[in-house]
Amino acid sequence: MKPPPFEYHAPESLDEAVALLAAHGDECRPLAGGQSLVPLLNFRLARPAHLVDLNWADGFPGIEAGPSGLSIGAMVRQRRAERSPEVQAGCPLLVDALSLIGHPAIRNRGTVGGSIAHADPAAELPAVALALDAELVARGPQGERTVGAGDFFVGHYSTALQPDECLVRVDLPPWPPGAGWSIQETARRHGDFAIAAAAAVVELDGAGTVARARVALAGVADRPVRATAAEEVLAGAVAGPEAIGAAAEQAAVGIDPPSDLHGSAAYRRHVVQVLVRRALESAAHRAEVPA
Amino acid sequence: MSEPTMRVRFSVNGAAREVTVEARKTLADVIREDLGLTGTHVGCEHGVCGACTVLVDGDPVRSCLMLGVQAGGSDIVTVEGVAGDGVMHPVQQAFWDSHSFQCGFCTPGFVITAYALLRDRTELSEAEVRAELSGNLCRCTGYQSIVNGVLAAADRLQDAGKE
Amino acid sequence: MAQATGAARQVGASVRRAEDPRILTGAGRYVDDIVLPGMLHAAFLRSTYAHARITGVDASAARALPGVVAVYTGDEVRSMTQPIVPGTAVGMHLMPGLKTPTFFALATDKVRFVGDPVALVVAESRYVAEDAIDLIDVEYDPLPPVVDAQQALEGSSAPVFDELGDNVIARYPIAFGDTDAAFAEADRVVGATLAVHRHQMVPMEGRGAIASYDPGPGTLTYYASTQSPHILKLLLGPQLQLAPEQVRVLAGDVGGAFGLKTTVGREDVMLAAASKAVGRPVKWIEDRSEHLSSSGQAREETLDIEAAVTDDGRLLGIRGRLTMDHGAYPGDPFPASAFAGAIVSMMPGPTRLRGLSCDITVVTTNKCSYLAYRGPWASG
Repeated sequence: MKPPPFEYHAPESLDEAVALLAAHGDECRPLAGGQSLVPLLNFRLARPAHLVDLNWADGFPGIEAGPSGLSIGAMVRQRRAERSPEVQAGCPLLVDALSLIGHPAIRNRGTVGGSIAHADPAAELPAVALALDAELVARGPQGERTVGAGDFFVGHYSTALQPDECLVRVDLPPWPPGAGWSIQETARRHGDFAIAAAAAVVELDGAGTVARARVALAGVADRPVRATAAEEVLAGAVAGPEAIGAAAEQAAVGIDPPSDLHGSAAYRRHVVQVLVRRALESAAHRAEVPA
Repeated sequence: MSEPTMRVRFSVNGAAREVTVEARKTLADVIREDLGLTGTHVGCEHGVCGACTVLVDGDPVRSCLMLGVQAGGSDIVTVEGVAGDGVMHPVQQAFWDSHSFQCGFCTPGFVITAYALLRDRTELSEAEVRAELSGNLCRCTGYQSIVNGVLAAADRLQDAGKE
Repeated sequence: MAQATGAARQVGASVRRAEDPRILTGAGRYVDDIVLPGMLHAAFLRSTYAHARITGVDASAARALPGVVAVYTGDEVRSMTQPIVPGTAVGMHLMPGLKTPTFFALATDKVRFVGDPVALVVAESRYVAEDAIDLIDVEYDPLPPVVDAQQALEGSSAPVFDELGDNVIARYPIAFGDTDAAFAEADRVVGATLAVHRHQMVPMEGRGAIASYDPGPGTLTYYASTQSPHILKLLLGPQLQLAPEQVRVLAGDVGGAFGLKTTVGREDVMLAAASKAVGRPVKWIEDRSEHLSSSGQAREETLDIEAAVTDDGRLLGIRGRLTMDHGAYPGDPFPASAFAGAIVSMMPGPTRLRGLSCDITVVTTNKCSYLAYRGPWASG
């Protein structure tokens, strides 16, 4: 299990990195944290002719919190984001999701942008990005463009990024005041890939009913999925067992999950219903009724 | 060697070292072969088992998931660097006293992980210790003796801190 | 009051192990830690089919890769090693009811499980050896795989070893006492079907060895991650037409085994043969991918048993059938068929039975070899 040969590039700037991606296109893979790509290299499932190591490149932003929301540079290490006061204050759902990724040693190298760009359908961060309507900022030879999370994840390990583009930043909208959140996951062991996961954000209105609910699922399709039918059931309803139960049922009905070594489609459907219910219960419980 | 090589300089267990390696060579293999430090073990080569855990700039990382060339300019600590001046660190001493291993193959990974954990905090419940060690696998012990060792080391470090 | 003697002072004392400080400070010496002058590295090309005929192997591109010293395939193995007749060293092949196939260290005409070694590359590094593996072209003609015991027992299942005619590799009864009388006397007969699933040993350190053949004196020094250095010493030599006194085996620190590392593996034979051929030490360290597919597995057995019992709680007798899924290649010198007998023999435990009678059927399937795992008779 040793990597196949490749030509290694260590660009010193983001612009240089983009130029390399443009020059080598499909023959080239960018290397961020390496926690997903290096295993693929070790298994020889990935055989890029060129590897562009982003870890030396200046020009990736850090973490910035402001009135327009929370912005996290793509190369920010997962562990750093998990512990960042700005992220804890500005996106508590992300903190909880990060703590579910692998183990601390994985998160010491893994990056926020890397996980999102790798787009493993069972990964936590793509689901959270989708739940929060994040905006992903990519830079290519033509400059920067922004892609909404809804359009970003297009299939198995497949995103809207072109071969000559690099994810630079993840922009999250301001955290809705008083919003409750939860991410629930089932995996065979702590730190494993999720068999399925549900991320939920619930906002209550002055009457204590649901003003807005957002639910995203991982592990149920070739990409993260918004459980929009479930969200519609909750809108305007009292966030109690009846509405939550109905929403969870809708979430399970609306998916066509895969069967694999870790679970059948029927199992995943069942598990999704349970996870969505728990996520909504927890999120609703945390949510505050505005004064 | 069939592929072009690169020169990489870093600090390993406090000493300046330089190696010339292919870019595709993992940090784990560079540590074991080019630096001759065989205490770090290779158990899975895909980041699951933790036997290859070393500290890079103070953080525990899977050396099987880093390329050696990525460690240029870093401070690396391996299991060989945990004891100081021939005296075992409290984690090592506690593992010895608590019979925290049998075959020893997973042990360097646990030593590094526990060393980094207890450097940052010594007030830990058993549940927290188990959670922090969950990225290191052992096939011999069933883990209880390892957890005991970490808790014992935590106690010793706490007592030492109070002195 | 008399002073406690030395022995009494040890009882109840917590005794720390002598090897621990060495291992804790990174000074362990597992087989991959050993480096010998002139040492080369080996990697096996393994079958991706569970059952197939090999119709062609082209290693020419692999041999031409810079850094590759040699590539051995089924064509070469016949002249480099003796055919393996598992269990011969301990007379196991004479066991009544047991069939013993003959095979080589590498697959020659057929592959019999996913992971079956088809070629061995010897190169300057494991990295280059794996590059060479990628360049070897093997043509396979797939055969229907036999996936479980039930299928193996069907007359229509393709034989894993053609020469055995079918997939029953062992069939023998174990009986003692008077089982008929035990069941005649019983107040009740209780029965159960117990199916134990396949297990795997998965030590943290996989298999591995360094074969170092010294052409001068014609001796083989074999550094191995093994539980059984004497078995290696006795059995490796004859495969290469060396006497046991020409073979020296060193087992240093071993990173777990749990029964996996008690036999002479086909990889051991091929590695030693390769070192003999190139005249240099050759190291093979199994990676986790190989380990999970090819090293060894255990415990896939089904017991249909009945117990003759009395109303006052005595066990009088046991009768039944044991079916064992043996995988493809028998282990050497302990074929899995022998473990089946051990399971039945251990079944009475400390109970004095009037009789026990069990029919054993062991079948071949297209899977990794059944080897010992932590008390291989545990299913009993």
